[in-house]
Amino acid sequence: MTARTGLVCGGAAGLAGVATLFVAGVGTAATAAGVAAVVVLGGGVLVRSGRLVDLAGAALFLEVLVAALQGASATTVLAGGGGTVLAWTFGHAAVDLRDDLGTGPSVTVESAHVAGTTALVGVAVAVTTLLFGVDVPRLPPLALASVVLGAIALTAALRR
Amino acid sequence: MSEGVQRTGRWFGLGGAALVAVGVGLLARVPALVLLGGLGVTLGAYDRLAVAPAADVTVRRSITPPEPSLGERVTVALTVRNDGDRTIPDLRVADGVPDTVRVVEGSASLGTALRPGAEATVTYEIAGGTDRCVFEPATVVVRDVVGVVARRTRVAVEPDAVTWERPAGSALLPLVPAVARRPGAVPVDEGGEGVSFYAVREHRSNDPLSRVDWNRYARTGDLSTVEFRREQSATVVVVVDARAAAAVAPRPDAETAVERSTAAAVALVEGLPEDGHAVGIAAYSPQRAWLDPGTTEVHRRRARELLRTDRAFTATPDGREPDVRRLLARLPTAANVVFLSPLCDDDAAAFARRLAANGHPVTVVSPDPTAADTAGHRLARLERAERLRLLRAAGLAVHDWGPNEALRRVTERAWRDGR
Repeated sequence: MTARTGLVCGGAAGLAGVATLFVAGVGTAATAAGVAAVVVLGGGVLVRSGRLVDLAGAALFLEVLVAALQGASATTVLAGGGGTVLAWTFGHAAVDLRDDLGTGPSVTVESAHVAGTTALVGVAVAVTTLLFGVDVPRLPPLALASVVLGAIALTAALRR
Repeated sequence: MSEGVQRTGRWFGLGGAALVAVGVGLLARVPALVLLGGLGVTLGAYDRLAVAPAADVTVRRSITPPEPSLGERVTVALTVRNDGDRTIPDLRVADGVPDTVRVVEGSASLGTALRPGAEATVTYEIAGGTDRCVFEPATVVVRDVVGVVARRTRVAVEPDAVTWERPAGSALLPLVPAVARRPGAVPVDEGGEGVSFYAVREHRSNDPLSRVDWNRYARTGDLSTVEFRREQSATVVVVVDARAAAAVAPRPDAETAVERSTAAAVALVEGLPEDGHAVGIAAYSPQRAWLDPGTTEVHRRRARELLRTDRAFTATPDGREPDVRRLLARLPTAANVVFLSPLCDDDAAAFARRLAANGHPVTVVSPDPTAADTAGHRLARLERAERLRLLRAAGLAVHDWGPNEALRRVTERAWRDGR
């Protein structure tokens, strides 16, 4: 018996992971982290382990960090970050859909999740880029960091 | 799980990752990483602010057939409809399937995205019920599009019950006639005491007055005696083969032969006492289970409880063999035995033969658990057919109960074939 539940989300997670690997794999270290992440992600979705998906997300994040440290452009880093979040989210969705629904039909909910999350993260990437303006490199990092830390404090205060 | 709104924690750790990115970016003087932290913060804000959609849904259930007969499969269609005026991007419904039945085809849960006014349906089949089974309310979980917040609720769904009808008592199983003295429902081709008319014969001096045909005496002046068909009530012991070797099914998710046998045993225990038969229960299993034959309502309830809850009927493998000697010793003399077994090994067939050798009239009802998908399965099917043939040749009444077949079909066939 072949269960298709989680297939759309699992496939999307794999795509997002591979895309991140290619976008941010600018050096040997970054590529190694990316390859490991994609392998762990595939395993996590197959054996339905949320922890493995978390681990894969962390490895993709590491890849993006290393790529940024090796001088990747701001656009590359943001795209890599967006891809990381997507791969991680879709991986989790695939795992918990299987847990919730077993072998029940789920193609519509998975498609909606993939489309909606991609749109949301895409908008977030765009908004972030716009917020910090086109001449990002010239802004002193400390000023940028202050703004970001202030925003983190603000969102933490939004807890209802 | 509790009802209400919960954070799923799907994006747990995003804020931490954003902080790491900002920290590393600051130390290494890489503005792109600080930007990445900004992305994390934006998504983190969504995580905090997202609101679960309203669970404004109605759920309907349709059950076909509404009054299944015992052993028959029931198709349940669960339809969920979005009554709200906003799209629900992530809606998951799990039906509250009763514990006493098993989902044998499809899935009792559904995940979908629903526009306002739209509907989605999931269909599944259940089997294994023995009487009235009541569905629990369905569990509905709605989430935002990413899945960071979930609203869980339970929705009552109508109709919420399905009742498996067992065959009427007298139509249950043609029992093999036994030597007994009480009038009952096993017809014997012999005149005597009973309830249905058999013949009229000349009066003999010691015939009871109640059986003198007084109408004929008034008409002709001759004394004559009415004879009735002698029917006897039997003492029946239903023996369920509940060894681990009998817990076999054609597919991994199908009902096992033990489950089907137990369901049939419940029907027999419910139905046979209506005809005055006293019914007892025994397990052909390493665990001992025994209930003396009886006819009362209390007895029937105890029998039902025993069949549903006793460890002996759960087919737990424990390596021991059933204590056949003890079981045979407990059976009342010449009691009718209905043996429910898939007959998938020689031990079961040997046990049936031993019952017959001990002077018990034996009826074997054998739920067929064989499959035909591999050569090994086909061989097992042939071996079982041969076992059934040999038992019939030995004079036992053997009824083969095909997969997906209602028990009523088997009993109808049994009556038609005369045994």
